[in-house]
Amino acid sequence: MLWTELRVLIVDTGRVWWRLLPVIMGVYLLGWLGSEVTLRVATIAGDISAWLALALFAFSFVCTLAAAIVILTLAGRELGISQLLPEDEREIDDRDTSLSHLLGITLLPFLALYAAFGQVAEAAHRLVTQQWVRYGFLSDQQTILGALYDLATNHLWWLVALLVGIYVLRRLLDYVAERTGLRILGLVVVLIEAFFMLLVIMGGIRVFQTFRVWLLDRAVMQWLAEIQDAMARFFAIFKIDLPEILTLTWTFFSDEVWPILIDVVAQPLFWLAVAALVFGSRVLSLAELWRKGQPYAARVPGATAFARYSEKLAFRRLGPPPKGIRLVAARFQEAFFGDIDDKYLPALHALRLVVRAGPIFLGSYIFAYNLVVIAKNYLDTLINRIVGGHEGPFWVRWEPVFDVIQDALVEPIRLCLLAVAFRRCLELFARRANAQPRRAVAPPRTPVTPPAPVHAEAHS
Amino acid sequence: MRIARSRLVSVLAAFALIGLAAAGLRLSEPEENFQVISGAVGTPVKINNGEVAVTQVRVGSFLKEYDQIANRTPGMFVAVTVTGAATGAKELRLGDAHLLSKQVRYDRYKIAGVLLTSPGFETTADLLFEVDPAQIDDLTIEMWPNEVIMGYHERVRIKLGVPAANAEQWRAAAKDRGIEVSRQTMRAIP
Repeated sequence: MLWTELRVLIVDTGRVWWRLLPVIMGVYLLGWLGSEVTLRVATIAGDISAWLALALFAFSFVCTLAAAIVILTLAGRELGISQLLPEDEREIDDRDTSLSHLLGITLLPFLALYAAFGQVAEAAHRLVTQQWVRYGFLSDQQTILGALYDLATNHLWWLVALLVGIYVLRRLLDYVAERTGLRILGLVVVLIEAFFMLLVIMGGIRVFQTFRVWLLDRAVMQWLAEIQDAMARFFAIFKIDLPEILTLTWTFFSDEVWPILIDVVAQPLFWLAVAALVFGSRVLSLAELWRKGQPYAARVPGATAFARYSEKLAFRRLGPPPKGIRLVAARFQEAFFGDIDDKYLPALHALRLVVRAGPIFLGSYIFAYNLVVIAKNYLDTLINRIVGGHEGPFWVRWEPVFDVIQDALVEPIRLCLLAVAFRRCLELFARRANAQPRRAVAPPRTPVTPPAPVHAEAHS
Repeated sequence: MRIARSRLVSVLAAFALIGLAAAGLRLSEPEENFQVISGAVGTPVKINNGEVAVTQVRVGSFLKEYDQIANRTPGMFVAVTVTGAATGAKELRLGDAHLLSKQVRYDRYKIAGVLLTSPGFETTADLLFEVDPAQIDDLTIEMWPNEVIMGYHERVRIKLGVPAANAEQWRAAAKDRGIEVSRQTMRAIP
């Protein structure tokens, strides 16, 4: 069974990748080109304004994300993921097919993953490096990080007001786009959301750092240090070196346990959950029902975690629609919580969904995912060995080329693996859902008692 | 009971796979972000933009300046005379250096400037280190450009000729001996 899971994941990934190689390579390279060109333009745009550079920087992520979504969609189509839906339920929904809608739905979780696993910081570092090369280290020209630092430390309320303003603007445009059906507006909404998210992520880090410095300077920290010293003195009576034990425990946790949890286990699972969002709410709803062992016929619009917020509201609503102040409150709630429900919660639900696919599947998937990462690491080492050691300016100029060599080889494989793993998840859920009704109709197990011997009856 | 056992086996198998993945990932991560260029004392080593050579190694327990004792150490001073020749079209830069002895790393004794050599010239300087005499086996100097923006770069490693077998002789040589650290000099490549 373990071998089956590994074989399915590795062989099917290889097959899909090979079949789609020219297309997905082309899409990936287009995304990379868009991202690189935007990043270079962002560097130059920094001459005019650090904020313009940040907006372009956000667009570079949209390019990368759009390419990833297209590749996942292509791989999903090749694997026939939508074919798993019963025919009468295979309704075409704009939410599930439009690229701008897909971007809108998946942008936040994708960016959150990019931020959590260091890719936003890495890209920001590259942009800052390019700006350093352009302006010099001692220049007065404000960089993106400099502008954010200034805003987060000296004008925190401006930052908060900016975030609220951008959020309101995005919701407004979202509403107009939904009403008018203009796709260009959908794209503008995606760009604004990317800008908003990067502002939250990068500005948030600065705010957190400022708060940390402020906290370290408070008297309460001294009290905590006193308590720690008192405890250390108390344990020293019993010849227990508490600080040493705590340091060793913390070192073991931070150096050994945490990297395994984050890099080896969490990263593949989060990526699978976010990739699952690309395959559409209907596929996810179906998977959710299968996971619970419910027949698909039991589906009622709004009943699943992946239903639209409006459908969920209609499903939950009892009595007549609200009026007056309650109507205003309902609209306000929809404006804010609807956004969270439609865009943020599905990622969490998708994570819950994939985690319940079973230990063998999860172990095999995590193993296969890490094989891809390991291959990327060795490819990186190989490129370094071939190219050899060089000075900083050489890498500033050529790093994007070396990066694309390894990423173009590895990233499409990773995305194909995500699609294959999600299809396997669906198959496992479907198998379980089919197995459960059979168990339900089976007769209950009762102790078998042998029939009384006929001859005994005759004797009586 | 059978279901519980098969579930336990599944969980154990999953953990085994995760362990295997973690080990593989740890092994695949590059330990060093630099290429090591090895050499020996007295022999120039080719690197980007030029050549580097260690020409002399001196040990002592105090430093001398103008025949006066400047600094003393309970340990041992090691002065490594390094010559960098910028044979290429660009300047040769050696921004930082340290001494390595098995698991121990010694940083430079004083925050010293960069060994910067213009094309067509060679620079000679004494790099000074304070070390623990008990831990000098296989003493090796490591030098690199130390730029603000650095990628996969070159590091020169030159063994100073202190194997465990003759470490005692080096320790004895350092006792009550002074080192006069010479100033950095630059001249045209002959």
